[in-house]
Amino acid sequence: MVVRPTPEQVLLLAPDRSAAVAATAAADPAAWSAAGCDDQAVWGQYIATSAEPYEVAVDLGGPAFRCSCPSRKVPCKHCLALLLLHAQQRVAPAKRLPFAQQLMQRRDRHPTARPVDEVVDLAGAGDTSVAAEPQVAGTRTSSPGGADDPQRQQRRTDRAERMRAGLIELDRWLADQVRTGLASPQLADAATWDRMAARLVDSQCGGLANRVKRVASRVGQHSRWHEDVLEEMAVLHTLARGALRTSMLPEQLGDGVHAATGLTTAKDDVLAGVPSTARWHVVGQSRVREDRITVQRTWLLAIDEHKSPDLNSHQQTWAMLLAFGTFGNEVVAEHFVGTQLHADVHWYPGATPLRALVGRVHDAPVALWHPPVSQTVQQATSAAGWAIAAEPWLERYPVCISAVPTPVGNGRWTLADQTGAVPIVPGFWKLAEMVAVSGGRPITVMGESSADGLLPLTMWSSGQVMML
Amino acid sequence: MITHPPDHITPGLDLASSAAAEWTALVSTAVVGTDRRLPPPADPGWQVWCSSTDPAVALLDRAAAVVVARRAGARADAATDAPLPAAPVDTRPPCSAACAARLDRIVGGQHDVLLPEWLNVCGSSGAQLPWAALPALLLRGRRHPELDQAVRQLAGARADWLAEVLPELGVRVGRSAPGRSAPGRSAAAATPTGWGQPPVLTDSGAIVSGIVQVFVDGMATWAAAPQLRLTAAAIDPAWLPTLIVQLSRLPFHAATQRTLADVLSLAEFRLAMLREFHPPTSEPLSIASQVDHS
Repeated sequence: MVVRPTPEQVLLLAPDRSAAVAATAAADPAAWSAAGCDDQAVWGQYIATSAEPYEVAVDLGGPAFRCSCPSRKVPCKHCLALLLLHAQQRVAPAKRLPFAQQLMQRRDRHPTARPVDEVVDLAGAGDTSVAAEPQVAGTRTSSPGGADDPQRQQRRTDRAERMRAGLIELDRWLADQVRTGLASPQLADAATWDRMAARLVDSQCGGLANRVKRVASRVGQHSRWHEDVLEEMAVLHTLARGALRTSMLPEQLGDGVHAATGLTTAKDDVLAGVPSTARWHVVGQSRVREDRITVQRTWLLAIDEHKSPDLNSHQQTWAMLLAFGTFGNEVVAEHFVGTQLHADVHWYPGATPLRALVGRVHDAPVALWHPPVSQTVQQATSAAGWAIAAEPWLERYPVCISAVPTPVGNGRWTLADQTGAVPIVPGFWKLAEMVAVSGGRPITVMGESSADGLLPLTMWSSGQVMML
Repeated sequence: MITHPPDHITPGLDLASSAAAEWTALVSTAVVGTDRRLPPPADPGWQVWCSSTDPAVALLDRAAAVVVARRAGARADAATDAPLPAAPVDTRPPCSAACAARLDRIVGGQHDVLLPEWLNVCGSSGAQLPWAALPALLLRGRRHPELDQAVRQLAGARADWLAEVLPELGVRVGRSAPGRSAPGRSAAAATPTGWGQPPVLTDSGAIVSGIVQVFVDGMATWAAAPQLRLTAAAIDPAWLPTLIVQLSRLPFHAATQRTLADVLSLAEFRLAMLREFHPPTSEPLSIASQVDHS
C-alpha cells in the first residue's frame, strides 16, 4: 500500500511554477473521464482541450508519470492534476483500464527500487520479443506465460553475457589506445579498427560497431584528427561504461544507452506505447550509404499549438523515421517532403525522443508548400545543446531555421541571422544552388546539425520546396 | 561557449577558455600515450569522478566530461559583422514549378538541344529564371559563350552577384551581354533576341514533310538522328502537332525505329515545354485539318 500524498506534496513535484498553476486549474473532475485508481496507480483521460483525450497514468510507487500530451515537462500538468484529484480523494478505486495497464507495463519492466544485477538488467531490456511483459523473472505472478520459459531465459542470459564481454573489451581497447598514444601507427591502420568493430558485431553490440567504424573514418582526415578521434573515443567510453550499468541510470537514459549500443526495442513494443497525435509536416529526408546499407532518415516536425505559459515561441516537436535499404531491396520513401500527415507517432524510448514509428494515420497526407515555422539560430543551437546534454552520444539533431547563407572566408559558409551563425558542413555539394536561391536574403532551411556543422536537407523559397 | 555549466564550476570563470585549456592538455597527453607521459592534474572546475586509477581510463573519463560540456554548451557563432550584400530585387514573378522542373530535366541532359529555346521562352514570358538552376547554367556557359550570354541576360543582376559572392564556383563576373545598360530590372525587361538559337525556319510545313519523307524512305538511320533532332527543335512550333501526328502514323521500320522514337520524344517534349509557358487558352487549331492541309 502506498501512502497517499497530500495536495501540497503533489505540487512540490511540479517542474516549475507555471506547471503547478496549470495543474491546479486542470484538477477539475469535469475535465476528466475514466479516472480511477488502485493502490499502485491512478489513471484517467483528460478530455478538456483537444479532440483526442490525453491518456494519463501515474505510478504511485515511483512515482512515475505517463501522459500522451506533447509536453516535454515531467511530470506534465495533466499528471499533476490527476495526482491532485487523487490527493483530494476525488478519484474512485476501479479496475485498471486497458490503456492504464499498457502504460504501467513499461513501468513494470524497470523496478527502480530493486537492486538488479547487471546481467539480468541487460537481458531484460535486451529481449525484443516479449518486452511488453514483466521482465524480471519470477517477480510478477501476473505474467501471461513465456517469461518463465527456460529456453528464452537462457537465450536472454547468453546475449547479455556476450554484450557484457563486448562492452568490457571495447572499454579495455579504448584505454589501450590511450595508453600507447593516438600517434602510434597501429591507429592509422584501418584493420585495427575493423577488428574491434567485428568483435562488437560478434558480441551483438551492432550500434557500437557502426560507431567504431565511423570513428575510424576520421583518422587522418585533417591535421587535427587526433582531437576528433579522442572526442569520439571518450563518447564510446561513456557509452561502454553506461551500458554496463544501465540499472543505475535513470530509466530514459538507460533506454537511450541501450538504443545506442544496438539493443533496439521491438516495433510492436514501440507501437504499444502512448502515441502523440498531431499534424506532422514532413520537412526533410536524407539518405546515406553506410557499409552497403542505405540509411534513410525522414524528419517530421509538429509545431506545438498548445501555448505553454512559459514559452512565448512555438515549440518544435521532432520525430525521425528510419528506414534501411540493401542492394536489390532499395529503401522506399513512404512519406514525401512537403506533405502533412495527420497521424499518431510513437517514439522509441530514450532521453531525447527522436526516432519514432508512425502508427495510425488519421487523414491522407496533403501537400503543404509553405515553410514550417522556423527558429532563430540561437534557439536551434540551444535546443541541440540540451538534446546533447541529455544524450551525449547523439550524432545529429534536427534544426529548422530561417537564415542567410553567409561566407566566413576560406570557402567556409554559415547560415546566419541576427542571433548568430551556424556553420554549413564542409563540402556541402548544393551550396551554390542554395546561395543562388537565397540571393542574400533569408530562406527557411531544415537540416541535420552534427559536430561538423549543419547539413541542409530542404529549403523553402518563394512558395517552393527544394530538396537538397 | 558553455551555456549549461555543471554545478561544481565556479561562476565567473571563463568556461570556454578553461574547457579549451583542459582539452588541449588531454589531447597532447593522449597523442603520446599515458605510458610515456602522465596527464596533468585537472584544471579547477574540471575534476571529475574517475572510474579507475588507471591513468588511461582516467584520461578518457576526463575527456568525456569536457567533450559533453563543449558539445552541449556550443553556442552559435557570433553573427558576422559583414553580412552578405543582398542581390538586387528581382520583381519578375517566379517561373512555374512545372517549367522549373522541365529546365532541370534539360540541364540534366534530356533533350538539351532545347536549352536555348527554354531560356528564350522564359525571357519572353517575363518570368524569373529558377535560381536553383543558375550555377549549373553558368558553369555550362563557361564553354559556350552564346549560352553564357543568354543565361546572364535572363538572370539579370543575380548572375554577377552569385559569381562575386561565390568565387569558388569559378565563373567570371561581368561578362554580360553587350549593350546591357544596368543590372536588374532593365536587363530583365530587355527583349531577348535569338541567342545561340537557330532562327525559326520559315518554310516549316515543307520541312515537316521533308522529315516524314526521310523516314518513309528508310533513310532516317541512327546516324541521321542528330540532324533530325536539330531540325525538329528548329521548326515553327505551330507545326509540332502535325509532325507528331505524321510520325506516329508511320509504319514500323526496323532501321529507323530508334531514330523515330528519339525525334518523336523530342517533338513531344518541346510541345509540352511551350505549353507550360503559354497554356492554350482556346482550343488549338484542329490537328486533323492541319494534317489534311499538308
